[in-house]
Amino acid sequence: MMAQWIPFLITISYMVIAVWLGFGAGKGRNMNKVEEWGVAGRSLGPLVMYLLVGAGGISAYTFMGAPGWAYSKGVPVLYVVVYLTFMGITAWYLGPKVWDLGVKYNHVTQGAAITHRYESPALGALASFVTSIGVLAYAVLQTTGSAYILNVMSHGKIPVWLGVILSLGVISIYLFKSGLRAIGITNAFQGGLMFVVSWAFGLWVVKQFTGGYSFGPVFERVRDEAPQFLTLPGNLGDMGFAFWTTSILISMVSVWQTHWIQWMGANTKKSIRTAATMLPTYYIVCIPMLVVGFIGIFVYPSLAQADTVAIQMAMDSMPVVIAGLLGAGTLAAAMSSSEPCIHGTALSYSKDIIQPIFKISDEKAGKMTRWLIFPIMGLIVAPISIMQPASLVYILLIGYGFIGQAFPALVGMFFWPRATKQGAFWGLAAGFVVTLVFSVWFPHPLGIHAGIWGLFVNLPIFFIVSLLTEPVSKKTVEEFFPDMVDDLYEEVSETTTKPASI
Amino acid sequence: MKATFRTPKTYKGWIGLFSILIIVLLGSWPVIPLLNHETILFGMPILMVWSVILIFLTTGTLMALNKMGVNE
Repeated sequence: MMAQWIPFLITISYMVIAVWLGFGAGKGRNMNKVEEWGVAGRSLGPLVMYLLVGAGGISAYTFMGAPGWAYSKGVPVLYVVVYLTFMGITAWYLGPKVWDLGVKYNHVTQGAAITHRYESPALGALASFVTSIGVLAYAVLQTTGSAYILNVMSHGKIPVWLGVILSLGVISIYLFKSGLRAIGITNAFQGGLMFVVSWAFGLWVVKQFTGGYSFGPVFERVRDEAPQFLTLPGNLGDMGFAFWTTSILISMVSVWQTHWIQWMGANTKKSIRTAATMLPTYYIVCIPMLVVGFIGIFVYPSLAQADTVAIQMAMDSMPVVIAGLLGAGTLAAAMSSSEPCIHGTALSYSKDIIQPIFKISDEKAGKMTRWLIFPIMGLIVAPISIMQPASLVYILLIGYGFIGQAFPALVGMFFWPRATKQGAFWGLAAGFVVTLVFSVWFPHPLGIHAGIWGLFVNLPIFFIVSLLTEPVSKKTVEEFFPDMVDDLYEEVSETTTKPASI
Repeated sequence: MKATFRTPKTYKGWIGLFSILIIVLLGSWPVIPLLNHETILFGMPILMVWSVILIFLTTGTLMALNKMGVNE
């Protein structure tokens, strides 16, 4: 009788440890300052950065959705491993540059950098608001995952609404107290826990199923009995080469607000570079959970909800300690992904929207920022997580679509000085509409990801409109492109001096 | 004002750019179809083995680029 509660106790113990670690992380720091609460006083070393970004990338999806995809589709799920790996390249390239700009000009958010580069607070505020839709939808999804885990581990005694309140309540304690420092330390703990749990659980399931620890017999049986799971387009026939490639590309160029803020928290550029270099190795964590999904093909030939395959297996046939660890690991994955979203949104709303509109001081904005997590959790994340509206998936698609469409604005920030706010705005707007149409009404024409269709339209508009409109001031160009400025204005100064000499 | 793009300034920078492009190609359309069969290697489907190789190849390449001083 008591044994059945052990998984629940392990899961709850994880929450207690997370609160303890997160709460203590901000000790002795003035969290009323944006620099402290928002970006941990730019103090995170390479190891914490590695686990912070790594664990942030591993969501409840890895423990539930990814085994579910392996169970229902097969190898198409591996695109997740590839795109997470390639996001390391994006972090390696952009992270140090973003950090540099942030230190030099005191930016902490993506919106602040956009405002500065395009000399347009309105564009920065708009980018902040619209990207927050995707970020918050993601937080909702992770909170729903947390509530589901608490519900399963408590044998239904914790209803979804209570699970939502519990998981958000736990996050709010340490997030309010310690900001990004809490996220850093809890993600480091969660990252380590997930890695151990994923391998322990995966190997245990393999041992149970085959009698040994090799994955070979699992996949030999898949090859003999259901070979369509081992090649693209997969068992459901919906992942062709075009969709594989374009899904990876759009994920690679989507720079989330949360990533941006995490990069800002590093103590040096070198820490980001080192962490990003090693980041792909963290995603080995996905492999055992995918094997569990493949085993599910034979253990549960007709499971109604593919996403529950790993949890179902844990509850049905695993020792209680392993089941509890999986519960804790999945909860860690969900919480480690939702807390940066809530933190990043609070920071961005405060710095990019409220502060410029109401013209409040840095000090006031700093004090207000951390209080914003409560309305964000209480009025947005919690109610939507509890209601679980059918439209959530559309909100997510819209949000994700927008994040990808901000890519040209970043091109203008790091590669193309001639980009203008009008070009960035109209490209973004057109790309967003195309992504929306090709996500919701005519999904992914020709098997190409909707976000890439959006960029097909966005990029030309971005370039053409930029060329037709006034560039930003020379001062701003100098700040973002100091190495290019002489060359950029060479011809212009010749042409402007000519009429004077005539 | 000219509409020039920022491009790598040194040959090391170009090596960095091409290395990254090659890695991206190795994980996408031109290469994945070549590996799209039911072969099992080291106890895993070949696409899974390839994903793991890509993980280490990416980290290895970035380490090499760091050593070369690319993206400093």
